[in-house]
Amino acid sequence: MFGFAVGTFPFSVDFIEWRSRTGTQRRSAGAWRMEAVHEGRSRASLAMDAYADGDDSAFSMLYDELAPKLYGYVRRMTRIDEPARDIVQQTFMNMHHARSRFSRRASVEAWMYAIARRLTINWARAEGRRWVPLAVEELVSALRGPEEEASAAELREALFSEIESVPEKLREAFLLVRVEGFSAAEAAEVLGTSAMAVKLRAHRAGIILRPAMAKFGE
Amino acid sequence: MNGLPPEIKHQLLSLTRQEPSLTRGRALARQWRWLAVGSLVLAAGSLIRGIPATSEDRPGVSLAVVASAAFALALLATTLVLAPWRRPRSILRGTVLAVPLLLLAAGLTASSVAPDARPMGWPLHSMCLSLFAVLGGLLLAIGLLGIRPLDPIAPTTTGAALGAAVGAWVTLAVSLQCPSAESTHVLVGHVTPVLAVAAVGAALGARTLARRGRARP
Repeated sequence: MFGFAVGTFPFSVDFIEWRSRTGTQRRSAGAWRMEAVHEGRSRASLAMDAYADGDDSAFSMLYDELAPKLYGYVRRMTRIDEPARDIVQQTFMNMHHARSRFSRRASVEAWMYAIARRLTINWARAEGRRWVPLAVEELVSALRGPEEEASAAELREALFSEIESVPEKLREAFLLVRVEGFSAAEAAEVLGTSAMAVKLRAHRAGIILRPAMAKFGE
Repeated sequence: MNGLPPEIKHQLLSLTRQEPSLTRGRALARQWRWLAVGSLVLAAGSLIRGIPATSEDRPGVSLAVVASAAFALALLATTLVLAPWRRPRSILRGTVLAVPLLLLAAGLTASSVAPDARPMGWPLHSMCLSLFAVLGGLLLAIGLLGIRPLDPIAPTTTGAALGAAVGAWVTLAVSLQCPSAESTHVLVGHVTPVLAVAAVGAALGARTLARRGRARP
């Protein structure tokens, strides 16, 4: 192991960087610049791969694709604009600094959300705030849809007390799957757990909230 | 709810130019350089006291069991920590728990093969513990500051797993030089320090492996 490490390292930098850069270019041929989805991965994920391999121009595109959605997610948790913007900036800086650790063929959205979630939790703890990963408004929108706006206010009242009783872990899974639109596998990456656990948690949260909705519907 | 002002993007682009980061290729090359340095340190640390001959206190079979288990666990743990694969964080948490437990199992197995090993007491415990402190500190510094596998999501867990990997490597080095396979000594001088190194790794990892902090305006 020692001999191999010493013997190959003089050639490692240029060779590895050339291989990874040309490999990315061969595989995606600039696909991240043009196509919304390539080989089953989003354009943002392909751009992150390119950025991790040294294409610095991809960062601007990453921000344009991901920042609005990320801001919405963080803003829902912080409830305040200023710290939400700060956390968005910190998230992108973390992605920049840790770009070499971004796994090939991973989802950049899940990675980004996991970083933002961790930063938001730290912010809430530093501020002495109780971190509530689900806003009533988003839950109402997710469950009822825009065509039922008139009944949304009453539903909000009915659901508020029920939401408080849902454990945080279940609320988080429900938020990521039902509101943010992640697959169970992606939500599992964000939360650091298994896809099966995410499905169970989201399902259990739905069961807890269903009686309140059913009561209102009657 | 207001959106993101456009100056945030400009600030970020400016900051990324001011604070360059390693690409995959450069990070991998840096990793291999520091692994080479760590290998040298480990090799030197393994021979510093010389390898004693086998005896009733440490039969050859005992040494083989512990050394091979420590080597296998160290290699596996190092790979899990450093390779940027997609893996659940539970794998890293499992590494932190499994490495000391499996080293303990290997140590007790080795002790069972040396039923006549004499209790050595605190002089030998202290020798092995001090070797752990020095070698573990050096290798942990190489891992955290040299290789530095950044993890903005779970830096504490990654630091602890790195500490467990370092602990396994140091167990290999110490076992080669330790003249006793007695069970109490294995527990005090070879397994408990692995937990300590993992704990130090967790504490330092929280600081060194997370590039958090306020983005400057």
